[in-house]
Amino acid sequence: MFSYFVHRLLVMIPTLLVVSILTFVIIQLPPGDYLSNQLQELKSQGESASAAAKIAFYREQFSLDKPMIEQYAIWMGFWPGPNGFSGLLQGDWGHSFAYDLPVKEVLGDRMLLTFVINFSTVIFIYIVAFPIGVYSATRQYSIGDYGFTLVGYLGLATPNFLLAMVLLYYANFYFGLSIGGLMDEKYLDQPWSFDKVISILNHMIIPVIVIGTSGTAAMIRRLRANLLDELQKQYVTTARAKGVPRLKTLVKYPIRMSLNPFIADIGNLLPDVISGSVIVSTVLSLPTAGPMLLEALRSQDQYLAGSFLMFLALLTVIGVFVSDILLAMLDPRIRLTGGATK
Amino acid sequence: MMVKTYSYSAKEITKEYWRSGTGVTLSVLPLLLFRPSSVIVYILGSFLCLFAFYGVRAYGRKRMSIILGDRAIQVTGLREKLIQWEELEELKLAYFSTRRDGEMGWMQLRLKSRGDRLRVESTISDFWELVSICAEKAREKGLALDPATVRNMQALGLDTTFNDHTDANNSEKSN
Repeated sequence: MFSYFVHRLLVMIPTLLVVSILTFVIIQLPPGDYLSNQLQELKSQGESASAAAKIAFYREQFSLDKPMIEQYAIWMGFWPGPNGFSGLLQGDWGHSFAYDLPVKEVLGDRMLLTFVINFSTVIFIYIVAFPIGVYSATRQYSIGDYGFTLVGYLGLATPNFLLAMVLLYYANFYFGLSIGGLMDEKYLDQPWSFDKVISILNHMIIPVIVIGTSGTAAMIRRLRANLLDELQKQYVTTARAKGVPRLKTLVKYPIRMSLNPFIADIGNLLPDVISGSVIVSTVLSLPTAGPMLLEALRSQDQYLAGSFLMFLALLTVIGVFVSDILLAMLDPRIRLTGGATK
Repeated sequence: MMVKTYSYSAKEITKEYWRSGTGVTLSVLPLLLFRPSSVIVYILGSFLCLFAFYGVRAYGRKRMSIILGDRAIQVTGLREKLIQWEELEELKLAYFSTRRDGEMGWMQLRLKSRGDRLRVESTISDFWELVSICAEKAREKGLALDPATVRNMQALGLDTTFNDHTDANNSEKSN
């Protein structure tokens, strides 16, 4: 296992480097940048002189006048810029031109709120999907199985934003739950308090259900299929024939093996925890990071978008790393089409 | 049964040294050249320790031999270990691959007795033979094999027919 860990880590480091290069190149690909767009806008308003000076200052300050490879090296912290070594490696995420603030400050609480809401969604998915998936597999073709299958298909087929709008209406009309936002307005600029946390928890119910529904449905389907495969294997039949109790037969190996999709999904879930549910966040007016990323990409706010994408890539790589390690621990089976290893 | 000795080849040990060296270099260079933030220093520092330990382990493997006999399996070298066949409690065969298609991986044989644990990787000489002998001993002891081990043994072309009975038996015994 230790060897696997080291091998996997050695693969991860160059992967991150390549991802950082790709992220930076992709951000730079569209013609122009935020500052040249601003300059055009200011020129059209007749403020060319002062604006041009300010933008020239920004270009120099943030090394935008340098070749792309140098910009990349400065952004990553491999090369000294105007402020010395000051890049991602040194914990400097850059400057957001649109907000005229450091990226760290712009993201601030949004990242935390996004994390809380999406992490709750992941927990919701796991808590709901696991028992239903196990029930559906162990009671195949029962009324309950058919019922859950139907609900699962509905969950998969319903667009999240539509579900969001429907639930918003009903939650407010029948249960008096607040519509939109992630907390009552009076807490918006207030420091953290118990009441604020309660307000957030109240507002989280709808988003968690909306964002989690399709994921739950998909997870139930996968868990059911995997567990059914496992339950039909020889060792389960033998154990049953020998009189091993039903629950023990189920828990000993089949459930462990069918947990693979839960673990394999961690790689996708971690980045989703931060960036996911952009449309739902927009519909529900949630102050999460998703809509901000979208706006940063549209306005070519390169350091905000770049650092954000790099962070997501980092989470993806770490997520895949963690899920690979867990899978190797849980089920270290050979999956070749044939032949043995060296 | 004759006593037979197994060891890791110089080629495999060299590969491990390379991996350790690459990892140490990738961890040390940013620390020395780029003055990273404290979080990155902790992360790279732990990577450095990990890769250095991997190098030390490679050295340990270079000095290591596994002696397989009628009564026990013994590891000699920096850390000595001995597992008597009659005390064998667990046999596991795991497969690891860093590639998405699962190719180019390696196996690890894990043996456990009351007092000791032993791990042998498939980069050792005559791994197939080593596993088959250990599997035979496990069969004689009536040990249960988990599904992953059974699958991996089948991939190696080893007989695993005894597993179905022992697995269920063991479950029964533990009830």
